[in-house]
Amino acid sequence: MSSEGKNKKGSLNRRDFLKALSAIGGAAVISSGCSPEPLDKLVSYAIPPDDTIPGLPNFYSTALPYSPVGSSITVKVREGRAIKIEGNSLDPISGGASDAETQASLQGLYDPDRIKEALFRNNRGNLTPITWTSGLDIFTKKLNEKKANIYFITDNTTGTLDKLIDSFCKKINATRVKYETLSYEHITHANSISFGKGLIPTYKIDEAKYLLSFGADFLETWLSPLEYTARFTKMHSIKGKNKGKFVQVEPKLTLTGAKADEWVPIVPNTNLYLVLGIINYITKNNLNKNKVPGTFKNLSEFDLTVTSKLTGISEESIKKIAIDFSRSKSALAIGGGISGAGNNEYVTIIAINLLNYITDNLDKVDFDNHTMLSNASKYSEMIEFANKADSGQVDVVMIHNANPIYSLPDSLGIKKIFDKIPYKISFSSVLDETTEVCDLVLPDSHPLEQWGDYEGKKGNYYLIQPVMKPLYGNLSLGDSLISVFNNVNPTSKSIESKSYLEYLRGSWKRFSPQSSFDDFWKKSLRDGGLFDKVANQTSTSYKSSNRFSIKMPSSSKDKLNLHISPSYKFYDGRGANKSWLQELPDLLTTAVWDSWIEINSKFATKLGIKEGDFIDVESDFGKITTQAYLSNAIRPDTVSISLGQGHKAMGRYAKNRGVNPIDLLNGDAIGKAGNLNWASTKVTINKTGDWAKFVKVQHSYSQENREIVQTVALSKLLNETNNAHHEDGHHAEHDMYREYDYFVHKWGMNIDLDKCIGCGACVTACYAENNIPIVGKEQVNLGRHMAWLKIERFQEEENDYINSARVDTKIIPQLCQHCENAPCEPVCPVFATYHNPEGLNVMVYARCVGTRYCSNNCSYKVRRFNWFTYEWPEPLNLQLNPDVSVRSKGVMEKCSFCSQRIAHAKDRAKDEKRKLKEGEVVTACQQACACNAIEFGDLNDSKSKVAKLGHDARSYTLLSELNTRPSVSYLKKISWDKV
Amino acid sequence: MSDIVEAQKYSNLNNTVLNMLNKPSFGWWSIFVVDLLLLGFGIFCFMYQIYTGLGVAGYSHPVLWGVYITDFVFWVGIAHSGTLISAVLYLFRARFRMSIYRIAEAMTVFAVFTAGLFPIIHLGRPWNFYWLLPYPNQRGLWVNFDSPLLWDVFAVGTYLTISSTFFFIGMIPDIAAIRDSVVGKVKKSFYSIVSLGWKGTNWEWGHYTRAYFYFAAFATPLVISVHSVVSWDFAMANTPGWHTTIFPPYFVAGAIFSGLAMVITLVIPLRKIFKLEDYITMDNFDGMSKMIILTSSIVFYAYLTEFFIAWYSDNKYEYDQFLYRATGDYALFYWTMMFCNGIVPHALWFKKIRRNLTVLFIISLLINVGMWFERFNIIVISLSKEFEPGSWGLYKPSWVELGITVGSFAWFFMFFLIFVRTLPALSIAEIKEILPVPNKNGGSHNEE
Repeated sequence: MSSEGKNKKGSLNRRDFLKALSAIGGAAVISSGCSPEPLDKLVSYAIPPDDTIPGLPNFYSTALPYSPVGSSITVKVREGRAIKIEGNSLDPISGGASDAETQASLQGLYDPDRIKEALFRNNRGNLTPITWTSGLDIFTKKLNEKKANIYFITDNTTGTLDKLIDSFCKKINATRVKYETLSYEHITHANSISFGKGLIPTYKIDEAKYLLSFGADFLETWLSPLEYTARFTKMHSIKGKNKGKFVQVEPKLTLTGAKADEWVPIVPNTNLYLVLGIINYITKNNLNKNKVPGTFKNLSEFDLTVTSKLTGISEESIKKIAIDFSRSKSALAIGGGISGAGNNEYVTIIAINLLNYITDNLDKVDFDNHTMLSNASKYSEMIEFANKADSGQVDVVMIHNANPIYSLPDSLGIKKIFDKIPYKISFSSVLDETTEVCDLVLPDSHPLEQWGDYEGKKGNYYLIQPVMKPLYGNLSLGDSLISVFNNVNPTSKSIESKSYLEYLRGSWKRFSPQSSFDDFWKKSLRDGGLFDKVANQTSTSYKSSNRFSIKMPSSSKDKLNLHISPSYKFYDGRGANKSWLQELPDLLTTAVWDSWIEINSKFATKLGIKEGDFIDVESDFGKITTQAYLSNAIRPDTVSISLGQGHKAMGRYAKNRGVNPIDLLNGDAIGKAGNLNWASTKVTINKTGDWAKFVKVQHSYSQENREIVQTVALSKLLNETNNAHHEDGHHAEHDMYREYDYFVHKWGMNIDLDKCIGCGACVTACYAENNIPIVGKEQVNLGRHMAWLKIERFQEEENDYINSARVDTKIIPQLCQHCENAPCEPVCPVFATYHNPEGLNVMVYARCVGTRYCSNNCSYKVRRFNWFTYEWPEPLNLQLNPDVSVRSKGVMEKCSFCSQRIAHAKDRAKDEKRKLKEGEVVTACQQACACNAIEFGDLNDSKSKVAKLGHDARSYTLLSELNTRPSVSYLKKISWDKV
Repeated sequence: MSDIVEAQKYSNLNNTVLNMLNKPSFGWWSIFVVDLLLLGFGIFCFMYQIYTGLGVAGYSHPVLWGVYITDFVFWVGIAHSGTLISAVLYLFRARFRMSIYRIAEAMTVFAVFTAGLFPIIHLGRPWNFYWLLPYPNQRGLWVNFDSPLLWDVFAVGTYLTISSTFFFIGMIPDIAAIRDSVVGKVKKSFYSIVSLGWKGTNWEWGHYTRAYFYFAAFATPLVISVHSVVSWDFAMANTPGWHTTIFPPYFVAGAIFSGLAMVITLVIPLRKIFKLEDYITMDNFDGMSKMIILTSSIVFYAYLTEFFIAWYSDNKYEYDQFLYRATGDYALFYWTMMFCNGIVPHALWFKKIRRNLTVLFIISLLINVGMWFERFNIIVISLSKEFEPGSWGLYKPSWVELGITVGSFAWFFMFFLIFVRTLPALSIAEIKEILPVPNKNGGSHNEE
């Protein structure tokens, strides 16, 4: 950590930081703390700072400015260290939830491979540390000596920083590119044609009763995943007698598709024909509510037969979708997922817009609340930059939060192009592929250490404040720019702000009158920003004047279609150096720490490919080699590779791990939309002859008729009386033992399997909260991953997804069931695990000798054993939660129902001389869950939500015939099929 | 047989036994050194495991017990026949036990020594093993008497105490005989102390035989109890494949079965090396072989019963478990067990085979292998597929586990090798009881 002297001008020193924060009071933010210098010895605060009570956490509202829409968060800080991130409940987008990426951003803060100081490429060509003062001097000098052809590549920066970068670029006459790997030019372009608005709207899927998605992975990466997860939950969960229906059209089952009530495996790149087929059917049968404009000249050619032939979907299915869609009171079609973005994806979006229009469903397309992702540059602008650089027309490039060498296709020769740029400056905080070739690195501090703001969606302003003293002496980009701003030519244009904080405050003055600004500022800091709901006043009107004539494709069946799925863990690859995300199993494959190519099992068997075979995947543009994973839920004409791995740099966890499928793509920007052609690449696959065990967490697919995940048909549920429940094999009269008395509380949990989407946010939150160690790929291979909470998925192996249209992916979060008759308890010879008076199955680490009998006797197999003493490479150890012990080798561990949170809540209630309130104890998994699938509370309180859910008609307990009497109950998944 | 030969046997017995205690030969030394090397490797493996963590063993979730517990049950099982042969057969007046019971008892004691190590080796934190012992302590903590593991502590502890006491008591007259003939101050005083001043008076013999009878009666229930308790480690758990009432008799029979096989494995080479043909006769092997047939049949019956119940109970977990045992990933081990324990011993119905030591030796080895796999199958196969399919996984032992297992054999044989060179491997006193007395004037100890 830096000493005071190392703080550069423009940066925030300790005193300012304290001053700024000390004014903040209130419930959400319990004022400020400042980190002590980390010491080698463990010394408690003899005299703590005024606002810090050792042992009690402080909470700060701030935000993470990460694509696609950022996230407003509350950070728990203990003794000056951020230890846990939670969603900010005031944020209308996330509603207080978070995803695995957000949870794991702490590992970005404490990334052991973060750059600790400014770096400069010396004469010998090596990046060597320099002081920030000289770094900024070199930066200024460079900008002043070259006047022409400067590029500034950033991610889709929004808010004040965006403004600052813009004015900076303007001053030095630099071209700005807001480069997003996952950008949605096809949507903005299509909307500008359909509606005259080149924006990405908010799709109000929560208001739909029938949702038809053409490859939009809206629960994973599409536009605003957390928001859409919440909206989807609202739409899809049962309310009274209503439940929305969701149909997903995609060539390969994704996490989103696994939630679909109908899953339609379509030939890749043929969404357009299906949409046209549906429109055509609706028109022909007069099911449309609005007159069909002549957007598509040859619409009538797409009858059921033709459409079926082109898309590989049966005529019946198309007919059914068309009828269901048009008859639904409120339907909505969405599309434009990255994995489907092929040659003419924008035309598909236009067709989808048309479909929504003719069925009168445009009321759910809200352009007033558009996402700021609309402002991202087109991919073609990046190509323009590359071309210019290639021809030597770029002299200086500055890069922030972008990694083009990784994320642009290899076929562009981007690395060579970068070599041609004389001077490259990076603001990246890690040595990623692009930063590695830069000449000057002025590493950005982490958002949790800096000031800033972020506007992810129109009118939703997040305020970013430092929650702890920066780990290293690095400046934020804002501070770096401010500190050189007045020194670069032309010096005539200058800004007054001395620091980025001042600049930021100045920028925020537009929201509030001068007189009350301080109060407004404090309130905004406390709230985490300014969440003005923009009312959706403008109705979306369809006004396409363009005419399209759709050519029938010539089918080439000799090659396989490449399907690239963006990763809900790594997004576009930026999360790859976070070990929590690497070890979070991918939902459907349960694979960790690597890439794989998903191949249809029947097709693979024909080729003699088995799971774990190394496969050469070759396109016209590149070749990669990765392991095969066989699946029933992918079309035989398609292979799929997930995005996010295959880094050649970036840090110990990301480097040389897996493959990057972007390397197989054609780098040219396509068509009028100017997007990267994600979906039209054809590949061939060949076995290399090598084999290794494919490392995954779950080996069995089938439930073996054990009814772990139970389903109930909607029709049956609606006909049933609410009392038709509890057919467990338990008969109280046969009990040998006296029942436990729970005098005060009996903690219990309820998990709604109909809501759970399996995104793994809870798993990562659990890792963060409970100091769960990372074990690495080899140990996971031995089944030794330590997750207390894991998501299991079941698929019947014999199910032919492609032809049967059966949807049977079942997902269940598995954790310690805290049984009343816990089989683990009596077998422990030393009472290391026992039943406490509040119904918790408690694990005493210090008492455990490690016989592992408890795990053998656990019917749910949710106990994890410490095979080794696991380590947290510095400074990842700073993230450890001081309220939870770090376990050593030889000790069993498992879910504690976040007993430390229960203890905190009880202490607080006791201090305030009152009883615990319902909902006061929130477990880490429950807090993170974006679909509100998890309820936790006191089963002794019959009015509590969890107790009521336990008596729901859908409620059941796992393996109830064993009479373990779990405290965790599950709500059955609701199916539309007859079960 | 002529009287003269019989008379020689009687007179030679003392010398034969005492000759075994002579200065060890080069052969003995080389075996002993190899044994110590293997033991050293085992100890190294254990140290390595303590230092790095239990992860160096091959454990894989959800199979959290593996080779160590297999070894434990295996060695406890081996320990069974000793007490059976010395105590139960003593009470039943089975004469064929006389010449082999000492070896069997020694085997018992050393096998318990070996078995007792494994519950400690297998702990995650072996340095805290004493937390399983109930004694007043400042930690203010007590043990959980509900846990079968604690019952193990008592069962094995009791068995070790009783079997070693019984072993020792039985040796007193023979040690006294050695004391009388041994040369050298150290040796003399060692045997003097250990023989507890035995003089061989009639009064002493009277008390001795009564005490022996008493200990035999006391040890007999242990034959049943120890392995029953060990079987409860499994039977008391709810794991499919473990949770069954047949386990105690099944385990006891299996233990005796494996113990007898181990006795045969040990006695055949010993008889050859020390030329004990006169005292360990074919009748001894014949008797043991018959007992093997009996126990093998019980074990085989238990195997079939398990299958029957898995089908008859209509319990899907049990059903799947047994189907998996016979056809799943570990089917090879399962059928090895079935072959070695269920089929092979039935060759012993033929007298020729019972009296052919080469074949008998091979059969005994196969039974040892089969019984080791029986425990492995019960433990590992049951654990790898339990109730919750999402958690299933396979287990493969690591070199550390195999190293410690080899080390455990070396540990056992180390004691055994020392035993045959320091203590009377044959019971002089008892063999003399069954040998025809050559001199009519000599006193004969009737079995009263």
